[in-house]
Amino acid sequence: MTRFLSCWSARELVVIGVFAAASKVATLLVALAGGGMNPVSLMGKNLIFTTLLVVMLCKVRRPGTLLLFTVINIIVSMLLLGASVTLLPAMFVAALAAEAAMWPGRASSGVGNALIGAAVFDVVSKVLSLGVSWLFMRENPAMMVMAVPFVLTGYIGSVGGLFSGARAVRELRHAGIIHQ
Amino acid sequence: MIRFENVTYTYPFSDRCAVKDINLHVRPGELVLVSGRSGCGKSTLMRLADGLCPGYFRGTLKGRVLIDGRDTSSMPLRDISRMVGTLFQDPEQQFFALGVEDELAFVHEWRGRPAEETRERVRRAAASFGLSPVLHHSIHELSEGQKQKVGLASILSQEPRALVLDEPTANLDPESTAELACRLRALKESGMAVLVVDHRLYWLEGVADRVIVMKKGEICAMGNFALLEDEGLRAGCGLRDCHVEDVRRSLPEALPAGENAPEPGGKERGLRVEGLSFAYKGRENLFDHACFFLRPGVTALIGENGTGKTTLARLLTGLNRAGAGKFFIDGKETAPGELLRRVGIVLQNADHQLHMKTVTQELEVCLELARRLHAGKDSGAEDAFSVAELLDMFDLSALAERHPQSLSGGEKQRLVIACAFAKKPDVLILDEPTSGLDGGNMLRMARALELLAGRGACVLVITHDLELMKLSCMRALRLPLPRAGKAGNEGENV
Amino acid sequence: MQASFISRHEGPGEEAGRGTALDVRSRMFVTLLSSAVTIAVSSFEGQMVLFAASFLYALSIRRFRALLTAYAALAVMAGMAALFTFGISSLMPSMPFSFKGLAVPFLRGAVMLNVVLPLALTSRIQALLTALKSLRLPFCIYIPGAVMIRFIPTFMNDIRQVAETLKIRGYRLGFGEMFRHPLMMLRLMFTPLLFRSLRTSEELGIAAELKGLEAGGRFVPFRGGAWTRRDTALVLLSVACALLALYCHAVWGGESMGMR
Repeated sequence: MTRFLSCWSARELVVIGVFAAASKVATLLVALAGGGMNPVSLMGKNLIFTTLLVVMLCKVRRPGTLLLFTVINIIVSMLLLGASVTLLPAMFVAALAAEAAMWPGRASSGVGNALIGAAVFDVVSKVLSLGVSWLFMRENPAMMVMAVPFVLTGYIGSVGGLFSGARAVRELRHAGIIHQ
Repeated sequence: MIRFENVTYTYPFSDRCAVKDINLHVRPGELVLVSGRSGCGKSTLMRLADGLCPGYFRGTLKGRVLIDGRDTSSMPLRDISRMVGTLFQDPEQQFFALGVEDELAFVHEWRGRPAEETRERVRRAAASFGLSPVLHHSIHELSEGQKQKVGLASILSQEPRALVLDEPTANLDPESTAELACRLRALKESGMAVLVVDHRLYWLEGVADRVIVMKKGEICAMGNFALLEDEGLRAGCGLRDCHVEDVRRSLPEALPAGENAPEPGGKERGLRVEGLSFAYKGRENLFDHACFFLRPGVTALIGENGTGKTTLARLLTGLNRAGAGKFFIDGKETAPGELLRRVGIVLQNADHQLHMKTVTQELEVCLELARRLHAGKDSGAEDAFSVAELLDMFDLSALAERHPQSLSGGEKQRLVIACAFAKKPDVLILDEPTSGLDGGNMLRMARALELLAGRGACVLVITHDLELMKLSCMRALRLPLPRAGKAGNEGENV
Repeated sequence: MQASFISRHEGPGEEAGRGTALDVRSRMFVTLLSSAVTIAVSSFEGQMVLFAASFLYALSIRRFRALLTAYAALAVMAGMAALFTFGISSLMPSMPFSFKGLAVPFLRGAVMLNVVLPLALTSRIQALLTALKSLRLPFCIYIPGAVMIRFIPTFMNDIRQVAETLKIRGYRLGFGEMFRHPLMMLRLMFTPLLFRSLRTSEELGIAAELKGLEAGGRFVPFRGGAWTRRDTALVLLSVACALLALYCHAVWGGESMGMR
């Protein structure tokens, strides 16, 4: 644990912090602009979040990046944005699952491993968020039928985010900002 | 103190040396000014001095860079940073805290200094830079000059022995620039070695002990400040002027609205504003029934910090809605919501204004949007600029296929202004268009503004750049704007 | 829910929010405890205890308009959900409609709203950095956390500027355009933000190196925390309320399927 905590360089930590801020602000503003229930904004904010996640994982290739990103998001979201605290453990578990999925390909330099990580994170966090919804609504399971379409719509955005993330990384390489 | 011995450096992913065969010594108590065309290697020289090259950027270093006799290649960046302080063009990007006091304390907190010592260092730093009144303010509330003071105070509170400054005056007004020069003189006299990299030269006359001019990664001239008197050298190396006249007071006043009635039968040309009033919520009126008239030509918008230069620009484009007031373009009243169709504005941050994958695409999209904007009007299509013309006008032809976000700061600045030209506006407002531009590009910018003005546009420039003002501005609109009726007399006194 | 992005700095000892002198750590504790207990408790009576206590807590910040707006939104959601559930239950008799069954989930939502609002609305952004320091987090968590908080207002401003730039260029922004060309709008708004993030992280990374920041350094905050007796009282009260709610749950049982 101590080794994990002390292996990070300041520049890597800064990238994680900046991307956490960017993803929080972008998703928040898309949600505010389009309304929380609007399917386009629901897809849009998930698309942006996943795209930023893929780019960040390509920029910082150290194992544990996604976990740290999630922990930071959890702490700051709770403090600042009043995020639903009950969803935070789900995000944490999803980050752990994504890290495990990325572990075998940790030495690769392509975008593939980042895509695997983001994909696993999205799937697990969405499934777990449905689980949390059930915990909230277990007294009236009919309400779950209402939650499922929202989560699915968001997930469609996340899948789109995988493609746009891969495209963004290609563009950043063309611009010379990310190197292979 | 800072010594370069036969230094050649190449960035990773590049096959060209950024600097070549550099031999230089900055002694304690000496200030050395480095200048040259954009991309000549002066920023790399600065990064070598503070250890960022190769410590942060990696790359290949041949030769030795010594700080106080120690080879930087064998020192961690943390140790180099204790000896050499670095101040960047935009100090806000270096801040980790949101408050002035926290920013000043940040480094000391992380260096594990006792709380009492940190408090004392913060107090002393704030007092010596006159920051005590703003100690509990947010960094977002500070002017550029104050931000720079915070950056410098934070560095000096760590007691470095050498100081490196990267284009420190790019965002400063002439008064803050003069204040910085005085401070650097005092630091130099206290025995600090100072290396300044800047395009603006005049402000270090009498302060710089030596001047180094770079070209294509090599030192092409070195000497005292008088070296810069050589016009051939300045033109050949893209340098700015070494003596600059402050024309802010001598530029003629833009006429108040009432005094510019068009001749009988003649068509009024330009932007006329009548009865403009505006106040931010809960504050006093920034403009109170102000009137003015902008004729075609290049006009400088002059005023101290907080007098509302940017606010006026936003009102003239309709980005902010005025409490009251009428706008007339070429004699025709234009509703605030319609202003953006005829008025262009280039804001300071170029990064926000680039969206496409190549420079050419960026311009093509702007031209297409302009075509749609002018569709159905009699003017516009026939005298519109072409992509090739714009590339040529702003010296961007060689970069046509590059990704806009991969360009340097100066190149991006030229591209966003080219995009604004594509709209062919009747009124174009530019916010600090030449900050960070070398002499050659500043001249190019001045010529471009004159060209647009020559086509009948009103160009309003918000700038602290005295050289640009002298080169291209014909008149000045001075803030605060006088109230209607008092304009004639008070306008001269502002 | 959006926090107050007020970045005005407060001096030592000043309160971190309007209408409350509570430390952010105590408010964080209340939020965490409430979220755990509100999920665990399934009885209507237990939820009522939590709701009453948390409502008083929410009123204590004196942001009545914000509270009213949030409750209006919650009421709309509740109404929609009730209609939807009614529809489902008439189609599927195995899922009968019951007001009490609906009440518990919505009381949960209301409890979360009541505890999250005081945290989000009274935490000034600069105070959060101080709070983050006082949590004595490890280097690898504090630095990105501080950077995130530091750049949230900057990026909010950036996005506003990007939108203005598009307007200046002649793009039409609005709901209609967002529906017609969602991908193009996302590219136009999002590309500058992506590049700005990368550039900012590069510049700040350089600054971090030049400030000599690295793991293993000893961090000594120059300003102490502001934990007062009121915070201790709040923590004790919240624990008492949680225990009472759990007691109610134990006595009256839950409303959930199979948990009664």
